[in-house]
Amino acid sequence: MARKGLDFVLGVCLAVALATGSASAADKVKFTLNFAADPGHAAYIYAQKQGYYRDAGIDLEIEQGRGSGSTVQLVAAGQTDVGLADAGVIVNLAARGAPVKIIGIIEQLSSWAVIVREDSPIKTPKDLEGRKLGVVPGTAQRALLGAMAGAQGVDVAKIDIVNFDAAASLSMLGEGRVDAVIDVPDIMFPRLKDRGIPVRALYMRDFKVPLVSMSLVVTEKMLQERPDVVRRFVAATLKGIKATMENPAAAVSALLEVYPDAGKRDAALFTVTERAKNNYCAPDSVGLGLPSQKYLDASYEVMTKFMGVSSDKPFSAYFDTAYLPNPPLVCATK
Amino acid sequence: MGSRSASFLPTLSVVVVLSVWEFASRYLGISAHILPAPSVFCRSLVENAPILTRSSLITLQAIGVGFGVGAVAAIPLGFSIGLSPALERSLYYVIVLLNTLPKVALAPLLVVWFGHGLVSKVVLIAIGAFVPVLVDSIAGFKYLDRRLLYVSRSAGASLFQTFLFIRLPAALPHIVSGLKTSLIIAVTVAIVVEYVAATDGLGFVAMRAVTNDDLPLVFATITVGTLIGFGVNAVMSVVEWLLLPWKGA
Repeated sequence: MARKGLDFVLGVCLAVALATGSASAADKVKFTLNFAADPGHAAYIYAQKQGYYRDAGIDLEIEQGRGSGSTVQLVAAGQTDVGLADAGVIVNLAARGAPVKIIGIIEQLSSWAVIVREDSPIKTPKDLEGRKLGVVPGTAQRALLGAMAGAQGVDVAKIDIVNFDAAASLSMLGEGRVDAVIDVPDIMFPRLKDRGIPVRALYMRDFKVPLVSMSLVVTEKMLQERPDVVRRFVAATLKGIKATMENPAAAVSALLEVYPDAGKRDAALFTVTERAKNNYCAPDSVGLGLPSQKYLDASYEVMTKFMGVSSDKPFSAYFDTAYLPNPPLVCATK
Repeated sequence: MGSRSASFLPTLSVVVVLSVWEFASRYLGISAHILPAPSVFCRSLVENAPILTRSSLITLQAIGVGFGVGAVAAIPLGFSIGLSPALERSLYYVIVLLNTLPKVALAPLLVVWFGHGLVSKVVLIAIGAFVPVLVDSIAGFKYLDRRLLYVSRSAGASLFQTFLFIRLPAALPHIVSGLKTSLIIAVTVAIVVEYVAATDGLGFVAMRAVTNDDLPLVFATITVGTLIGFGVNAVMSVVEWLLLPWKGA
């Protein structure tokens, strides 16, 4: 009897030791978002809540960011391990010498669109000629307008471009001071609905402006020193994306539990559902994190022609696909 | 009557301004998305009290540490420069440079160097708080009635005694004045740097509220920021009263 009791105690001790050992052996990874947590980040928070990173042996710390440029600089400076940033910004900084690489393209389609009031006569990009269009200087908006105009035969010189601060976007459109703005509908629509302003969107992606967007970025040093951690991180993240595509409401709950100020539930659910439907998988995508080569080439052409990205190197010089799951994680919905 | 009206008139003016604001917002059809009425943002103040309190504590911590670092560095340097014309000549352009530096523009760089968090904020607040205290400390230690020094020397006072009983009391009004100025600068820098480059604190809450189109919360945050300004100013007045009782501050 006493022997059995001793065995039990030893067993418990061993189990505790193993559990503690495995917890302390988890690899610490700091992941910096592109901006303050918003519904677009629900998938990462959900992946953490679901324990995907823990199961992959990663002890993850998620840090809010303050813009893609800042996040890429933090990654390059070694202040964080992995960053989430706009692919165009990453490539631009990498082309200028930042020792960073994309390891997965999360949002294969960007959300940018020309947003107009529901009753607006603007039905196609060509209709923007002679109208007032609001853009935020220094952002991708102006470059994307150029790309869309080039693809659709629109004369940008005939558009009355009004520059304003991003925070003024809602008011400018809501009060009719501009006929259209370039912004992200899945964020803007619920806010405009709150103000009682019905709107619709002309998505850039529907007008021959293919553009990859939010991507995971790490340093080349991290790829050399911790390749297995990177591989496990990417796999856990994509698992979170897939889970979010399957259950956006659960992802929103996870987000709002951690960041209650990330937005109102209805608006957040709208954003997450829209992203799940439209952003994570481009047409002919190989899988989550990896668009088709044809789509990548087309996106890179937009970057080099309109976004000031140098075309000296091919896109593959900035994007290392070796850390994506093999076989690829296929797109779940759509 | 005089003292009663002295306290009554400022209160009345605040009440009048808020009443006109409330009336204009309610009856002139001004949207809450443009200018929320005081009653609306006061409700937001109450509803968001937990996050505003938590964020205020974060901001106050940054202000306290940054201001402390800036002041602790500035006062001894001010003493050294005040007593050494050669040092003053050597450091003149460095001080001018620090004073004219667009400090908030440094915020993104500091984030790259030190990451998001307390250190970046503290460095920037310390730089902002450093110069006013330094300039006033220099003035305080430099412009001393020479007759006091003759008297102390003829009475056989040591250098330390001269510092403690002559130089420091003479410089204190200047130093306290510099501290008061730099404390308000510290509050402003803290909130602005949080708005521009941090991921927590009162400025960050204001930034989030702007991006979430939550203007009542923006005004609630501004109100709390203003109260913090009043609060630290009141604390500094108490410190001034303790250090300079003869001023009757």
